Amino acid sequence: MRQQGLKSLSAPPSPPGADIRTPSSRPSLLLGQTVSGTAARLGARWLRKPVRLGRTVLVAGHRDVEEVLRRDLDFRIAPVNAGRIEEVNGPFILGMDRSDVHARERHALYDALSAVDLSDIMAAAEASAAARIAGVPEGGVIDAVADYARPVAGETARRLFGVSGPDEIVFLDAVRAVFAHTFLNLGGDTAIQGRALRGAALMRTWLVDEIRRRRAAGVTGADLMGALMRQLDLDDDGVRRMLGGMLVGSIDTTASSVARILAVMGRDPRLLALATRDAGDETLTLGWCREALRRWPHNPLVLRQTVAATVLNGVTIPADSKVFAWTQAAMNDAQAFPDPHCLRPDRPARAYLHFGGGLHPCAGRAVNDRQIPVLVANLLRRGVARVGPIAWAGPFPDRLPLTFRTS
Amino acid sequence: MASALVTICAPIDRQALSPARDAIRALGNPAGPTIAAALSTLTEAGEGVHFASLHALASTDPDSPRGSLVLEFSSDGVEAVAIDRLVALIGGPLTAVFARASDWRGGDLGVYLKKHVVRISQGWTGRPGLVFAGTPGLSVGRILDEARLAAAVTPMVGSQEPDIPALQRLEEVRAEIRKLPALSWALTTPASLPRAPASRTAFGLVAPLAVSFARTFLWPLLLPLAVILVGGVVAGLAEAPSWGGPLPAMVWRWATAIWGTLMWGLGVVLVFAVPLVALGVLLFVSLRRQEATDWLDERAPDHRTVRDILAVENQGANNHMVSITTVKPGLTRQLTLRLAFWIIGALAGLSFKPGHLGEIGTIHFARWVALPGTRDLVFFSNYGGSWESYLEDFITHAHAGLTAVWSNCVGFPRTENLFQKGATDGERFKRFARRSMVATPFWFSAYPTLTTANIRTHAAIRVGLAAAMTDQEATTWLALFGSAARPEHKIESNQIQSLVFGGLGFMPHGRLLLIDFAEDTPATRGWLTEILPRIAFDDGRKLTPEAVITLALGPDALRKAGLPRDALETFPIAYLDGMTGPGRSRILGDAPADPENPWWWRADRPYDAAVLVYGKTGRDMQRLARLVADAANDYGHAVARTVPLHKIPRRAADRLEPFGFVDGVSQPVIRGTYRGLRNADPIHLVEPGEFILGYPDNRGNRPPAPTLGALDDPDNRLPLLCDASGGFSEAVIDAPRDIGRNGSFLVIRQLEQDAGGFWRYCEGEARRLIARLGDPYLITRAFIAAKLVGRWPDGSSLARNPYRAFTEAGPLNSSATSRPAGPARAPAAIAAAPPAHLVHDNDFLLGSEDPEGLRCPFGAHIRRANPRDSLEPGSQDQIDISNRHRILRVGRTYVAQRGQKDGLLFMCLNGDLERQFEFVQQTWLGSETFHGLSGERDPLAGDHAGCPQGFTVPTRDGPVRLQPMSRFVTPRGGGYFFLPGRKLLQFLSEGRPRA
Repeated sequence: MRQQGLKSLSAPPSPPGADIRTPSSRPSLLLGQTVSGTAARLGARWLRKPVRLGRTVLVAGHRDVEEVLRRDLDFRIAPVNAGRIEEVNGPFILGMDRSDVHARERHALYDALSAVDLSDIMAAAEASAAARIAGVPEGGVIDAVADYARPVAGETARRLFGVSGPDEIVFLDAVRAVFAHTFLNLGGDTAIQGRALRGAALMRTWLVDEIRRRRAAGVTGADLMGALMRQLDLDDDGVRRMLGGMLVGSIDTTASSVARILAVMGRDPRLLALATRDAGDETLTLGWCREALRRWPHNPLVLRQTVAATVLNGVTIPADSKVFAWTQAAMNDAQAFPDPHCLRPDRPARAYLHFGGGLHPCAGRAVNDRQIPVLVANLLRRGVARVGPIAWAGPFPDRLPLTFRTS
Repeated sequence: MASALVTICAPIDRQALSPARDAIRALGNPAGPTIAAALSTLTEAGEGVHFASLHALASTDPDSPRGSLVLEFSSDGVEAVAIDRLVALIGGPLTAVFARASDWRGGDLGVYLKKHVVRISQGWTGRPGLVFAGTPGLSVGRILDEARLAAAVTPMVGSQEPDIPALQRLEEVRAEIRKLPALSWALTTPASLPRAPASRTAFGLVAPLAVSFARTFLWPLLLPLAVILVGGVVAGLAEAPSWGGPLPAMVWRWATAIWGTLMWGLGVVLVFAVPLVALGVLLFVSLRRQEATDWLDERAPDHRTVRDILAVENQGANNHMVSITTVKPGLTRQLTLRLAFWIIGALAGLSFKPGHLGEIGTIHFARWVALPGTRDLVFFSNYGGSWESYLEDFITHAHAGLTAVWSNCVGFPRTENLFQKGATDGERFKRFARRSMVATPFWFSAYPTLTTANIRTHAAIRVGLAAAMTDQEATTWLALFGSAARPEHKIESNQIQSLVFGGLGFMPHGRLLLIDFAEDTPATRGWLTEILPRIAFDDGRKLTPEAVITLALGPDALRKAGLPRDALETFPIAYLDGMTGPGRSRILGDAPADPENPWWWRADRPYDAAVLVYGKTGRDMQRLARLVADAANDYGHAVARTVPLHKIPRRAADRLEPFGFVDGVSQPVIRGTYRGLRNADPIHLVEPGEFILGYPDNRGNRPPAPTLGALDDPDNRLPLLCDASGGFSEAVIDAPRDIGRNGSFLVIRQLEQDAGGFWRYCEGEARRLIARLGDPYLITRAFIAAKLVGRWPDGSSLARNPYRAFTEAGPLNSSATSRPAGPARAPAAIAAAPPAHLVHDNDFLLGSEDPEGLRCPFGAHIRRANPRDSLEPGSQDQIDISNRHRILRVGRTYVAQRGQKDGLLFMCLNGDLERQFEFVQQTWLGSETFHGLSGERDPLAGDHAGCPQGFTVPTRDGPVRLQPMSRFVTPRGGGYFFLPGRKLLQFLSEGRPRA
């Protein structure tokens, strides 16, 4: 079905045969949890101050990373993100530094988010996750990414953002293409850029059509699209930009996080056993997910840029420096995570940096905090015998075979 | 934005000084219009000249044949560009002056000026000196733009409507600014404000100073030292021991060789270090000798020069100062001068606030420069305010640095150890300074009406206008207009319910309504919205309504109002579990399920809300109580219980609790409240955090607070858990919300009092003991009652009045048999000011004044409820410990219903239920072993079942034991409630939280 879907794309962001959807056989070990985890632990242990090499700065301490994220007027996001985000979506708050426009648009988005009742959407995600597992026999195998986390996240995104129309393959592909360029294409690869522009055009059409349809019908709806349409500070293009910006990060963040959590658990039988034991407890499951992600985060680095010389933890950073906030190392810093090598599900939530912080935390973190544990807990409750390895499509986990236990 | 603080010094013959001065004066101080207009020209990037002055200075050495033409200016950008720009702007007039220099050969003025720039350094290269910028990073254009912005915004802020949240005020200003294209730049992303250096430990300060010292002064030694060390190691390797042979022998050979190398290296370092230390000692000794013998110039300033100076001073908000002094002769002063400049410069980078010289923040730009080819040390300063205030600032705030520099010049007041005394001798110092000054013949200021304080405020207004995103930041922003950011300990009175400030005794009529909310969030919010305007906030003295409400909520009420579960769980467990929760009854000595003494209140689950309705008249109170009840009914809620309260008598002396005692005499006083600001007794003065959440407590800590996630406050109205007063350069919008802020925990207990039984017991004991004690004791029932309570019925203390009440003519003290069985008047209230005779009868220390309990027994109620220093007489620590457990009582007496006895609706406020109310109840009042006693509990509040010892009254004639007593006070109900601050109540009523 997946191959059929690929071939059926009429205006695909990824042309047939493009590597973005071609699972690589690259061993996950090399760039995976072992290497990145070891480096992060070493970084957390030894890089007590920011390290500067010319105009490139690496920040590893938890306090320093938090400070980078908090001092948004010194460490700017617009020079990093604005160009690519505006290219594919138009202005979105994740590409804006603090200003009057940012304040208004951020308020509109967060106000709209708070007006959406997530209960039904999460119940649907839970039901979908359960249904996808139910069809797999005892001792059977499920692709925990392609046939589970990504489609469930896609359904949630459609429900939350009000996207209708495109078929699932095209929808997921377009969103992924835009995400790949917006947040991962720091090197400016033109092929990735081209796919993103094609995907963005599709997304724009879907969103604009739906907004027009609702306006014509005089019904805004109870989802995020509806809540945004009711915001006085946003015109329809603003609604489209907000939805586009949110949509881009909503699916692969979830799928990637779930894949990494499962991969970490699959390599650590004791962790898997403990998480399975606690799978009935929503809070503990969230704690285990956060801890597993701490070993192998979906986003180990956050980039910011200075516009004027400034000082961070006694280190002078010149203007126009790229500052890499190494969130994975920060989450192995014993000052914020005592005994960082131990995984404990009861650590304070605010210490985690999986979804950023400061002015620009992930706006969908409330959804992630509910959906990711739901996806993981459903698998754990069923009983996981074996996980992996991950097959990659570019930077994304594309497939992850997960074998259930036999009773 | 870089700043160039350029000083140019050209030689000039003495005879040419006078015409040069005339040429400079022609430029004007303040600068003439043509020059000023030229210098006010800005580049497209807003770069320009901040200040400039020009001088023809005669050397302080009368034998010197030369003087100096000195141009000092402070400009944006780098030095070379700044000089070129200056020449382009006022090259003609400058050429006319510098053409008089003795080495002027014509040609390009820019080249000439660059050649004569004075290179300032604190090390061995360059001329000794120091430069300082008070507005770092701010260009002339930015300063002027931000001043214009502030001028435009100020009237907008001043003309806004009342009763608008701070964030909305800011939004309205933004909306106005959006309509003004000339100011639209102000809404774009601003540059951050300069940051203060992080606070450092002693090591954190000394280590970088040591490195800086080595780099500044010791570098000439480091190269030869390194060469010798490396050479030695290389030579040593040539003689390295062999690797062969038995392992122990080889290890021994290598260890010996390495040890020898280390010792040799240490020896080399010592060879360098010892002479350095010796030089340092010699320098210090030489300095101390000079300090003891140097000549002091105490002469008054030259009057003509002072008049010349005054003629050009004080023409705007800022002034210019130029002082020329002579560096004392000799190597010692050359070295100490450089040392002084180095340490000021190093400390400025490490610990001074940006733009501040120590504590002084009024200087725009200043510099000390040792002029080339002379012993002249010139000080230039462009500062805000008057010369007198400027010098006084130095004398009080930065005398050490000033002394360290200027004490190296001839005539400075006497110093010690380079940094001490000197400028602290203010009058002599000012004479020295004035005497060293000359009038400034030419001076330009790009913003003559703006002080550094103005500039910083304008910068903060600009940043906040674009960057403030929360109500708390907006409040800080509004304070920039003629106010100041609120210090952490300053309480926000208008956000705090009035009950916290006192019992509202001026509203004598009262009623308690206990309400259960329906399981309906909109209905709960609706009811809150309806009664919110009736709730009393702020210090009660300011209340104008005829009747007001105090609203306290139980945990279930917060849930029903829509507070998310995760936020609710951040409240303390004592509050969540309630007074009748698991284990709490045992702590409190309660038995809510005891069929012998049944509770009148529901005991299985707490009521959702306690509404106290107080009114100036009974009718006002009843009307408001009815309104509250009707609103509750309209929204489907239920008034589950009503407790009517006695009217508070007008006369203070009539305000008795049901046993007939004046009560409420000893109360803690919150610092910063009306009472706390007016002669509060230090024994009873406590920090706001002891009772009001969100403020520092007696230990200086801000206790953990109940919180709400930022996502649940999308309008950003709630107080932030983090400190947002330091500016707008950090994003605080994602910080958790402090939903406890300005709230307090309210304990309510309905206590039935057996006044008859109490007095019968006292009378019986008085009769029994009347012959037991002789003079000066007079055994009456009042005496017995006073021993049990610790105060006489008139409120006077046993500690100060051991044998008679202060008002001993009162009916209670006349004889053993004349006292009626109950109180003389209707019980009323304790929540009002005490009678006048008690005002000064509360500053006693039980431990210091009565360490044996001969006056006030250890077990007496007031000694148990607040031991003061009793457990460790005379100890301030013990007073502090006791004050950790104070409660703020705001109770009233209730009206007994059929079958009930009169009693107290005990109410008290706490910051921490467990540390305060429950601790007092369990550890002090309820303990059988309190203060070394055995088998006794509090005579009033205690349950005496199983307490065989009765009550011990220590006397000079041996201990007297009162017989076991029955229970005089029986709890009939109660609960723990939260008294929310205004913002949380508004937030809950507006329905922002997740449903």
